[in-house]
Amino acid sequence: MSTILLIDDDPGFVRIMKQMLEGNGHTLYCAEHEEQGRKMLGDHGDEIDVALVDFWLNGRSAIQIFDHIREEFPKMPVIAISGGGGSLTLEVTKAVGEVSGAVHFLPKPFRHKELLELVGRVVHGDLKFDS
Amino acid sequence: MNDDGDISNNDFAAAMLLEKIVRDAYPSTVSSEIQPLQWSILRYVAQSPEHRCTMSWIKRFLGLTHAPVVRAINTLVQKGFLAQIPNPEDARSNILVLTPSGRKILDADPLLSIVERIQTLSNDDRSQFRKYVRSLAINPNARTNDT
Repeated sequence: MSTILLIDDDPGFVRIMKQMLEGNGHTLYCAEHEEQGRKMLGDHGDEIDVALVDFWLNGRSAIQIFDHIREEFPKMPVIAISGGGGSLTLEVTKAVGEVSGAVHFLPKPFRHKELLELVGRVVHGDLKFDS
Repeated sequence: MNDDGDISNNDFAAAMLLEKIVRDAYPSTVSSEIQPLQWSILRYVAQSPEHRCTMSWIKRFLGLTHAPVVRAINTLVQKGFLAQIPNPEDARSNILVLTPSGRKILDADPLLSIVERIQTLSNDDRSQFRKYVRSLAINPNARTNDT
């Protein structure tokens, strides 16, 4: 089972993810904004196997947190997630997430099974960022 | 843009080079049969799980309205690159799948020639290049915001 950091500003989504991921035996740390995410990384960075980061946090792109993870935790895989709603299309959001170090982009809504399989692949090293 | 609000010749030249690199990627006989939007759709279908290969997901992903996406999909179906199969989860929609020709044509994706150019850069330059491209992509209104 894995330890996952979820950074997402939608409390309803976080609640569902918590039920689903913890229900499947994963340990989950949650942050609702970038600053809280940085704190979680500072406190638990060494335990975290994968980070799930919403591309849009409180109306701003999360690229700074992507950069922070790349610089401070270069081996930590990041999955970018987004339901859109920002100024970019999902196509561009995916590309920006991937050039920022995300190993995968998952558009919302997604299926629980899809996320669980993806986390498994990422943790087992099947998906890596080509730095 | 400089302090007087004039466009810098150097920046204009850089923009011209960007355009030329992209334009050069599309000249071959095979790839020119397919328009950029159609390539985006082929890539999307190739990279997405089947349940997300519906018209509504493609419109949402590309941020486009119904008409241009329908036209592009119809063209790709007519050319034999995509096929439509019934959606087992929703009788009102179809799933789009790549045909063997569609999979093959992706080997001629124009973006691959740009990827090859990028890969000639050193690791440091590639890393910088990604950052610069990202900055340009997420700040499309830079010209109007620039002071």
